Amino acid sequence: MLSVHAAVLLTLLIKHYPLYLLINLLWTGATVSGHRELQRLIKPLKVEFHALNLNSTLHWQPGSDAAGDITYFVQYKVYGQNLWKNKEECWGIREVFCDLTHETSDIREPYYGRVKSVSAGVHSDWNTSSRFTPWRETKIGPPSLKVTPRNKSIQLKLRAPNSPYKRRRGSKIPMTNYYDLLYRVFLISNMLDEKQKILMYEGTDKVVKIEDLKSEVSYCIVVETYLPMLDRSSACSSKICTVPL
Amino acid sequence: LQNWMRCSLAWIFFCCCCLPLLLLALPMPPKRAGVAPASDSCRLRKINFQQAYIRNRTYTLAKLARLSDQDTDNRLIGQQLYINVQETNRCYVMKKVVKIIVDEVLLPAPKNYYPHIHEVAQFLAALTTELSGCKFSGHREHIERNLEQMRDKIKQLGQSGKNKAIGELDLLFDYMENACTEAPKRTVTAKGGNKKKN
Repeated sequence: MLSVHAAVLLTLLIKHYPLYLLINLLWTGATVSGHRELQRLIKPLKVEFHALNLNSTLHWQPGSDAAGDITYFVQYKVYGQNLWKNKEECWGIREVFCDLTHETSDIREPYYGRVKSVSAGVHSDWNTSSRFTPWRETKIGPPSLKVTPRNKSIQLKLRAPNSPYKRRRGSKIPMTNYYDLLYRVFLISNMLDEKQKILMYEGTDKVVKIEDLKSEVSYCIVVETYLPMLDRSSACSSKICTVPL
Repeated sequence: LQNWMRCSLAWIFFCCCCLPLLLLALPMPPKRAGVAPASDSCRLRKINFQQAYIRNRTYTLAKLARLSDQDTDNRLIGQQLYINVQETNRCYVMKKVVKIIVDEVLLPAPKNYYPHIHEVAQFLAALTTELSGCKFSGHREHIERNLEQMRDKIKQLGQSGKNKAIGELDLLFDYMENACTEAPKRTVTAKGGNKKKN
């Protein structure tokens, strides 16, 4: 009795749900879970801003399974706004970074950036950076350095790095307009040991003279930028050596 | 003689008409200053903000709190605090904001969860004390409304609202600095170059 019922049920099922539909149903189930898996695997990782001299770039790493054909989409916003804005130049790119210097030009404001990836028609979730305030978080580069040997002395010309922002007439605005910064000049006494550097000058002068040196002895100079307000210094400039006259 | 007459008439005319006008005009500047004493007492010395130690402590504390704040839409410290507020009253607004954050968020916050929070609270409280003579001028209702909205938002978000406020201590620090010390460095004019000389 029961088995007859079951047989009837089965024939009914097959009649009304043709085999191809059943297979189809199972197949889409598999692809949906496949999608989710892929979505998770291609999601960009470690989304963060890097900034040097207020040039602010969003960086990320490819997801764990981001081989092959993958493109990235970038959005940004000021903290507190509801809407994200598309960054047109970084909409469907293959690179793993995106320059947002212009979008973050109000340098005391906090920003967010986010990235998603698309691979084989599958969209990952967005991955959002932490809050980024250019003024506070940018690294500052060393000043540029020109060295002229003089009579038993060396004359230095220092110049703060430029910001990416321009005046109305087109010249670049130096970092000194955004920060009270100091120059630090070090003399490297022993050419073999770079650790032995002596602080010769700290201040805002653009021209610095180091005196009382021996003539015909090679001296090397490195300089860095120091931000007293944030107690932070730049990387050292590359070393320049000269021999006083 | 007529010339002399004309000249003295001109002088009399000048004395009768112009001098009173001049005299009326003269007391104007001090009077105007009297209307807005705010600008003097609503001022903090720059030195308050030049200690890297407390600035970095504040920034670090804020960063720590932000780790557990994923909400990018709601913001407490922002330009909305200044809606319909005159520029001269911004320091007053920030004084009130700092007082609210210190009293309602920082002091009751769990000390073991937020390191150095009381140190930062003390620093901010000291700033508001220094601004005790800072009074508003003009319409109070706009200021009150903006402050109320901020308060409501914190309440509405509950515990995460308080955490958000701590995550915005860096903004609070910067906004206070901007509003209460002289204008900070701006995108520039020609004076940028020689300003650095001593």
